Amino acid sequence: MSDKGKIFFGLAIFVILVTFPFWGRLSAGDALPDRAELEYPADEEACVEDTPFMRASHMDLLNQWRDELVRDGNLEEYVSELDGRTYPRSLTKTCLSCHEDRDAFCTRCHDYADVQPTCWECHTTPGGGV
Amino acid sequence: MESKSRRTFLKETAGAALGLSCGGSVLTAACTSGEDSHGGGPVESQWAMVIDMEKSQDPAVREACYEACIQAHNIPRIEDPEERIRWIWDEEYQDVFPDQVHDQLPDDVKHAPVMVLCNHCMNPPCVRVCPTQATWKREEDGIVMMDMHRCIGCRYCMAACPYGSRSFNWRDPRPLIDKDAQGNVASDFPTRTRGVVEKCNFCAERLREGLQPACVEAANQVPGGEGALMFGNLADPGSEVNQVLSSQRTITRRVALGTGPNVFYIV
Ligand code: HEC
Ligand code: HEC
Ligand code: HEC
Repeated sequence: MSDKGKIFFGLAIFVILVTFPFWGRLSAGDALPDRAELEYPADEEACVEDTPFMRASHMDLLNQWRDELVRDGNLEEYVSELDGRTYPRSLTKTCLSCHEDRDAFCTRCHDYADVQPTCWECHTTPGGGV
Repeated sequence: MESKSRRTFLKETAGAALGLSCGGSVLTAACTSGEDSHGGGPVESQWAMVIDMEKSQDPAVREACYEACIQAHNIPRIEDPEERIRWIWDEEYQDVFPDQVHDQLPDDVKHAPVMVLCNHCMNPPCVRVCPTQATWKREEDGIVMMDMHRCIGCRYCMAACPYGSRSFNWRDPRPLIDKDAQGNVASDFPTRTRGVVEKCNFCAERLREGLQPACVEAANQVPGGEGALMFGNLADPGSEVNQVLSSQRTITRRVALGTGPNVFYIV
């Protein structure tokens, strides 16, 4: 075999390896579902705000609550623009009182989206779960 | 430059910047930088505590306070004094009030236990040195707050506090927090992480719900401990603390520093 052959063989292997991430996924047959399978609160119709807003901006809402409560010492409850219901500004007391199973809701979607919020290194699940 | 780590470089520049704006000393009353607003500004109201030194001589009273605080804030139990996390604890009279110690003072007075905690000062030196405003004096209620979300663990505040009221988390506290049979901690107050500074928050989370601080409530439940700790707002003329302060002899720690403590002691 001439050197030419060796070079083409090497190049072929190189191309296969480099493109593996693109076709490997397809042939493995585990294409990602369109969205994460989430468990929703059984006896609640609506979230704090409307669902598209929550999906896109829940982290901003949490930051806003955090600052209003911790920094501004705001004692009033948060009033929903959706339906006027009021909620304490609290990650554990409010969000997790409806979304009781954090792992089957928050975490499942975060794993899907590959985000790792560090909140739970400090914040507990209701009843002191760490 | 090459040989300096980024961390060292940041530390040095930050130190230099602080030195410039505060005339070198963290305890001088006013920084010249003109952005002193995050130091001791005016407050709309001010929570304050009065500690009765006589009533708090009973170890059962003090122990009840400390336990209540540990449970309310999920404080880890760390034996090593260098790494301990403390919000409220005992210290000897001679160390709490060093400027009151004279040669004729009997030993039992010098060594008498005194309960100490963050003084929530009017002019908190810790606040002035914080580079991220993770600690600040909250205008609404005068509490010297800690925002754990902002703390970068630089520990300038610990160096600045003349009362040693602050603790640093040298390690992950979670494994050393009391847990029940199900593995749950005692309260839903967020635990902390390695690398942040913490201290007494006057139970901001309980005041919000209309409750008294955990230590005050606990002392009142011990027979003979009623009134060992009193708590109220200085802006409220009828508050118990105002009545006590206007009718009894009280002192604060190290007045000459000008920090303006809001924890008072009945002598
Ligand atoms: C009163 C109960 C309740 C509370 C409190 C609540 N949620 Fe929800 N949440 C729901 C319900 C019910 C849905 C599903 C709504 C629907 O079917 O469209 C939902 C939907 C969501 C979604 C969208 C999920 C998706 O399908 O994309 C997010 C994200 C979310 N919540 C986050 C939060 C966060 C963060 C908090 C705290 C700030 C919170 N929720 C507090 C009941 C609640
Ligand atoms: C429908 C999917 C979905 C659900 C359900 C969901 N999240 Fe998220 N969350 C996301 C995505 C996506 C991001 C990242 C957004 C970004 O980086 O812009 C995110 C980011 C966050 C962040 C900010 C993270 C950071 O590092 O700054 C927080 C905090 C957060 N989520 C809390 C929650 C909580 C609490 C719940 C459950 C009550 C929840 N999320 C449920 C999709 C979800
Ligand atoms: C280093 C520990 C720590 C981390 C990490 C942390 N928090 Fe907090 N958080 C606290 C403490 C302490 C409080 C004050 C609680 C109080 O005063 O009741 C708090 C308060 C809050 C509050 C208002 C009170 C409540 O009960 O929820 C919100 C909202 C909040 N944090 C959101 C977050 C979010 C979102 C994240 C993650 C992106 C996060 N925090 C990460 C320690 C932490």
